[in-house]
Amino acid sequence: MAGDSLGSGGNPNVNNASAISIEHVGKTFARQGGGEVVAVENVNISISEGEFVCLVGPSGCGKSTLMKLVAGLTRATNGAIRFHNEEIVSPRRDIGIVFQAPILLPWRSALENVLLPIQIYGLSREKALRRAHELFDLVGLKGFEGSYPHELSGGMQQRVAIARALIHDPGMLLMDEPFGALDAMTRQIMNLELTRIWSAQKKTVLLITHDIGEAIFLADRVLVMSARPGTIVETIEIDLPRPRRLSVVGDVKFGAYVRQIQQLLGLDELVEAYA
Amino acid sequence: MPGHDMQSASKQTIPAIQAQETKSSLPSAFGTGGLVLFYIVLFVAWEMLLPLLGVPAYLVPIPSMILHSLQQGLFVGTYLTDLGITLMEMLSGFGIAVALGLIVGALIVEFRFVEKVFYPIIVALQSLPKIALAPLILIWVGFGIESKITMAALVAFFPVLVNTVTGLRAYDRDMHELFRSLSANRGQILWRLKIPAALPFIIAGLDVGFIFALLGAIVGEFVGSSAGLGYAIIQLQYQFDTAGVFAILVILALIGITGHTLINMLGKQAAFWQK
Repeated sequence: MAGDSLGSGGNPNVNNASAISIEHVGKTFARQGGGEVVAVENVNISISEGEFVCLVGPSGCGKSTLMKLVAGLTRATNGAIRFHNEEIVSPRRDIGIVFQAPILLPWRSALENVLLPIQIYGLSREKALRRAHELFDLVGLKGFEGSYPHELSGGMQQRVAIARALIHDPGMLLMDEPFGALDAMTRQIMNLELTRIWSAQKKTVLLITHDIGEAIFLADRVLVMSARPGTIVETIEIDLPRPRRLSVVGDVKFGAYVRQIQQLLGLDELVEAYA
Repeated sequence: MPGHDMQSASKQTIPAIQAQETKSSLPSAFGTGGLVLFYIVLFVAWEMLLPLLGVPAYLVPIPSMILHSLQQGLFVGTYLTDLGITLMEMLSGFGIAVALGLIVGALIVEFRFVEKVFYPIIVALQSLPKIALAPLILIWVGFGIESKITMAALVAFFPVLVNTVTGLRAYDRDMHELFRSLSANRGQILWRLKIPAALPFIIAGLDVGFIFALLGAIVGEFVGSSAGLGYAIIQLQYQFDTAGVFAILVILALIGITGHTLINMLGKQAAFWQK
């Protein structure tokens, strides 16, 4: 699938083939001591191959549950999630995951952390080594292959985690608030980097965030999720030029998107309630 | 859930020996030179004051007598042979304890039924002062070196086991999720996650186990033997050779310090990522 040709910016060639389809998916948890909690309800998402989709919603809206469902870490109570027409029943090799925290093994160097999936999957280390070095270059960590996690900053650690998610060349990248723990400035840099990495690697991306600006900045399409019940309330096509630059934030359209999503999430009512 | 109750109960009965903070503020306050000077003054005072105070040498010998006994015992007497025998006993016992402790610990963590069946027995044995078993062990295993090895192994086994179990359960939950997202099997999770994460705990267990093995061997020799440092202490006691007993104590302390130092060096190597 994904080629390694670097630096191909501009609008992606989004295929019409749907990479992932989430149909009528719901997840209900049994509450301790009886009762049930509906985490997500009737979620319908279709993501085309090569598309960058952001899912934005308030905390507690079931974003992380949805992400675990797509990751194959839990099963849906109803509905089905399909990846290239195959139902996701367990974690898949062709979906790389970047978690909220970098989750690097402290006893492994950055390079060995990136190679972890290769070891677990029993793939050829030699081939992977070449790719690992390319990825270190891609995520801007050339020369840090031998460093240990405790020697790296939070942003650098998350770059290692991104390289790890890409090492076995999965077709899709699933990201759960990957930069949530970083400071605002590092976060902007990482977002910029991510759009660059994405256009270089041509992956399908589903990124979950609670940051409206981040979602608009990154995505081709933003899915707005509400809490209680956790479901998709609106899909917004982001019509902003690529490659995105930081200045896009000043675009009139960008502001309009922010406003639209704020209204969808009911932030106005919240503000009034606290005023 | 009865299994869970038992687990929490056993956790209370057997608290793991935590890695100790070896840093002390004393050397920094005194300076190393000051500390050496302090000990010199202490030994000189011991040497000079005891005869002046009229404390008989058979009660508390002075350092020069201990040194003389040590020298005599090592170069003329049987101390070296005794040292060799005791070392052989304790190291064999320690080796057995470490091997068994690691294997049984891993089995307990990995297999629920092993824990259910064996943990109550282990808890019962753990609460028993193992040295009280020495006379029985002697009857069962004989007066030779085997009974001392058994004693050393028996006493050293528990700290290794308990710390192995605690350590193997101390892995980071997020890291476990990462392995799960990679579809890692149990063996891979044990080998690549649980064991590395357990190393600091296991090292702390080895540290305590080493001293315990020495204790076991010496007690075994006390109860019935014809050679070894424990046997030598008993012989010297019969002769009221207090300086000789002190000389053996010096040797025992040196064994302990050497073991502790070596294991801590190993620990720093094995758990280098910890500060």
